Amino acid sequence: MDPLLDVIDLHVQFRTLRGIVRALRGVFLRVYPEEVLALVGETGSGKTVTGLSILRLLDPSAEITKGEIIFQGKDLLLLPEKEMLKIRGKDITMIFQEPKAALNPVMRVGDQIAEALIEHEEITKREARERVLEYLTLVGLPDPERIYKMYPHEMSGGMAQRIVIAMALIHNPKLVIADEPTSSLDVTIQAQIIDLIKDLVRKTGASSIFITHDLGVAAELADRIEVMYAGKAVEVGDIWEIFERPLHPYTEGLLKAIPKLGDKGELFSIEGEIPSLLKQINGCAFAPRCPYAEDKCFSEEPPLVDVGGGHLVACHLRVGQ
Amino acid sequence: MSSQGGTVSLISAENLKKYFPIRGIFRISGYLRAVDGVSIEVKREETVGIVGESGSGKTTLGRLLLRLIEPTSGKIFFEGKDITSLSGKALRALRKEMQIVFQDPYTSLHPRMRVKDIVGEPLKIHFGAKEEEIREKVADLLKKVGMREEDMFKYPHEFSGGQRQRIVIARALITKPKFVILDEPTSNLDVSVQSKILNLLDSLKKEEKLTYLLITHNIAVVGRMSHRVYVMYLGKIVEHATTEKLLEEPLHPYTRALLSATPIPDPKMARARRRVPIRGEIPSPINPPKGCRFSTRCPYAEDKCFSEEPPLVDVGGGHLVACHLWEKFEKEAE
Amino acid sequence: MSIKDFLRGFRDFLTSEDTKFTLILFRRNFLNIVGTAIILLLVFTAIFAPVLSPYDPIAQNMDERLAPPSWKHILGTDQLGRDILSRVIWGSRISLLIAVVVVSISLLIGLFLGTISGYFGGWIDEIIMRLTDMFMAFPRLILALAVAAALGPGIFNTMMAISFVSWPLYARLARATALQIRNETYIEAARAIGASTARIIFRHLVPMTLPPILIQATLDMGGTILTAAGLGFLGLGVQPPTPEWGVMVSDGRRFITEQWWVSTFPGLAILLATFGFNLIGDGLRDIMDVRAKR
Repeated sequence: MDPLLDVIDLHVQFRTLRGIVRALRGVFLRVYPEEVLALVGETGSGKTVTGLSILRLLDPSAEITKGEIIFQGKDLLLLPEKEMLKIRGKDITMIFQEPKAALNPVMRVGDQIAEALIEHEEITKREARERVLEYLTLVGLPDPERIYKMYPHEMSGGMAQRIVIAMALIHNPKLVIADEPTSSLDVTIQAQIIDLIKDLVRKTGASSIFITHDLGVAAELADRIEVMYAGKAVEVGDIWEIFERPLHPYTEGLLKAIPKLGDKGELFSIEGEIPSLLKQINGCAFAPRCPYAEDKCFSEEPPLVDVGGGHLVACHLRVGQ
Repeated sequence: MSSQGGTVSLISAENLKKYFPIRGIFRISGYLRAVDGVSIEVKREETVGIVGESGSGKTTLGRLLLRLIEPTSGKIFFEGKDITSLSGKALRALRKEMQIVFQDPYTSLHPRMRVKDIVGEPLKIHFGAKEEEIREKVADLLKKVGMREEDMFKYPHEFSGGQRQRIVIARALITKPKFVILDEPTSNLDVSVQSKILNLLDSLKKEEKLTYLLITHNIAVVGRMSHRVYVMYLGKIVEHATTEKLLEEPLHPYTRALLSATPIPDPKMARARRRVPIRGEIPSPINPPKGCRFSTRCPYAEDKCFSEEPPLVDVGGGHLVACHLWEKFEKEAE
Repeated sequence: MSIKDFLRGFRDFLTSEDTKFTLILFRRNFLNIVGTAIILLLVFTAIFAPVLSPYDPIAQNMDERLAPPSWKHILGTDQLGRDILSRVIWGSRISLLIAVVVVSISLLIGLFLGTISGYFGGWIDEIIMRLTDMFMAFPRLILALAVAAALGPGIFNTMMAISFVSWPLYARLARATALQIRNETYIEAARAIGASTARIIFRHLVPMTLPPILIQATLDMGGTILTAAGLGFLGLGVQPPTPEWGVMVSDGRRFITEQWWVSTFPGLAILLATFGFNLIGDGLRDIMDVRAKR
């Protein structure tokens, strides 16, 4: 099957007062049609930057120094902004962590979604309103007529996030990039939103890149998972496969470090700290913290290799198993 | 609620209430009932967990116990003494016995103070310690929380989230308090750092013989660290039991919903699990629902639930539940 | 809560990363450098006035009265034969002294009142804010005039008068910051460890209120020099024979058409000094805006 989106060797850096931050050091990522890919990582992994790069929403201080992002046969990085505008918000849409920050505080939410529609399609105001009401029901909001007229500040976080999801889906996009959409929500609301997203992905056939730091959330809804560390992907694969047989020592460590219900005793923890992205990293970025690291790991950077069945790993010691 | 048997509790609260007035233009238009009649108890060297989501009042409860906020009514006891109306010097003196570790390590350290002054300040305040003594004690404590002596001359922004949280912990422990409130101590940290901080808190507890009150929304963390757990919803306690009991036999629908909503980092188990279907949003604590506060979202609610508030009853062995229908669930649970 | 703690607050502020960043950004703008150069020149002149000044600034010489600029008297002489260059040089001492004293006093008063106003809120806040309202309702110079007229002329009274009208602005700034940060977690943390209110205000709050206040102080230096010159010009400020620039401008009014140098050079000095301070103040303010956006 051909991938819907193919990110190839993406390098992104930021110019800051302290120097150059190499946020992405060669990222490879693929999303296939009708799947949810969880993009998982901690601070500094580069997961959010990857998401923003795809839609070219990066800060002006960012520089994309290398790489391609292929979508529907075209390299998004080479498209003129006019072309990109047609794709952004229509074929590829994005959901952010803080729903209320994504909504205009002085406009009724229904009108905001309708406006997004009218921007991209030839459609009358009435038709737009009908469609919006349809989608408000689709995202599980009761009494859509009343919700249509509400302002963002009148809503709770969970409701606002549903509005944002409606906005993201109303164009029937091929790909939805969700950046930590549930991290600011309460647990019970988070569960509702996760279930909603699972349901909608099935119904609309859209693919999703679900960015999160929470492996539990990834386990709940992803088909495949990509683990990032210090600006690169270190492991990619089927969700069942990765959780059962994690190959990369970082993935292994992460899974062991999560407190699980029912476990007692000391928690496993990964030694060391996340490396600074200001300095040049030689060899494998995880080597200083890896319990299995050998000499080669400190000098040679391990490439992302397919070890069979769509399972990819970037580790000298685990390839060939 | 009184202590069990002959064990003296370290800190306890009786029918604590905190209502925040909501000011209209000319008058007070209502009250936000953040904590609405809560009685809890923590015994020496225990770890007690308080679990809840937004609006549950758990954070306010923590602040009330420490007297960082004034209760609207109710009493607080520390080491048997009524501290509810302590003020001024006496209250400040109490602070060396009870401390708090805040949730956000990025905002709980003064951005323009050096680590040495931040961690050492309690010594100055309570013991009038001089510079030399401060340096010595801060160095000791920094090492205990896994940092280096040299770190004391730096500023907070020079450290990562995990390191900052260690500084916060060091500050909380420097006066050798008896009681420490941990307010979501790892929620703002990366996964790989969380486990380190939790392990640290665990070992410090044993070393310094501390008593913890752990406030969190993360059931897995509470399950791992606490002996007993209180579950709060909209300002009230809805269930209380030992950790084992609560995880095995949760009786309140909200507790069950919370447990079923917690993500499980195991795709097989996650997808096999059935969620307790709760509807809608968390109501506002300004106008809590009549009757049982959870009735508006409860999938099992019956008529009685909407009109009569269920009392918190002991259903055996210190397991408390505030639900009219708890017997139904007792039979359902294995 | 000791003075040492309070001073530590200042030291921490000065050596913090924020301050270092500010200086880096500051150096990048040419205008800031110009402003700094001007002020350094001013300070240098003020300190070394006795050495730099060719003549005694109050020595009269009726033979050489109203002499135009020449090699002997580079900036000419005034109506009493006093060398204008010497008087301008010595005038820098007066102006700088007034500026520093006034700004310091009004800063300290405003900082204190504003911080407690913002931190406590309630009736304390109301009273102090109404007080500042009262003072700020009048144009500064008018109010300073009234106070100076009431107190009488002289350098000391001038300084008191201008301080009297300058403090409200600092109070407002300090209050704004205090309001912003009084609910920050690190302030709550200070209460949690048992810090007294005095300690919270002086050790925790004040270092955070300093940046906008110091910027205002820099701008105020220029404004103070101008106000003092205004008062001097009107005869209500520093009295002759003390060489204050404003008085000198006033003295030269009668001769402005023929012997332009008597008023012009002290006027230029006022301009330059105010300009220098304003450049620095604006530069700092621009940096704060940039960082606020970051």
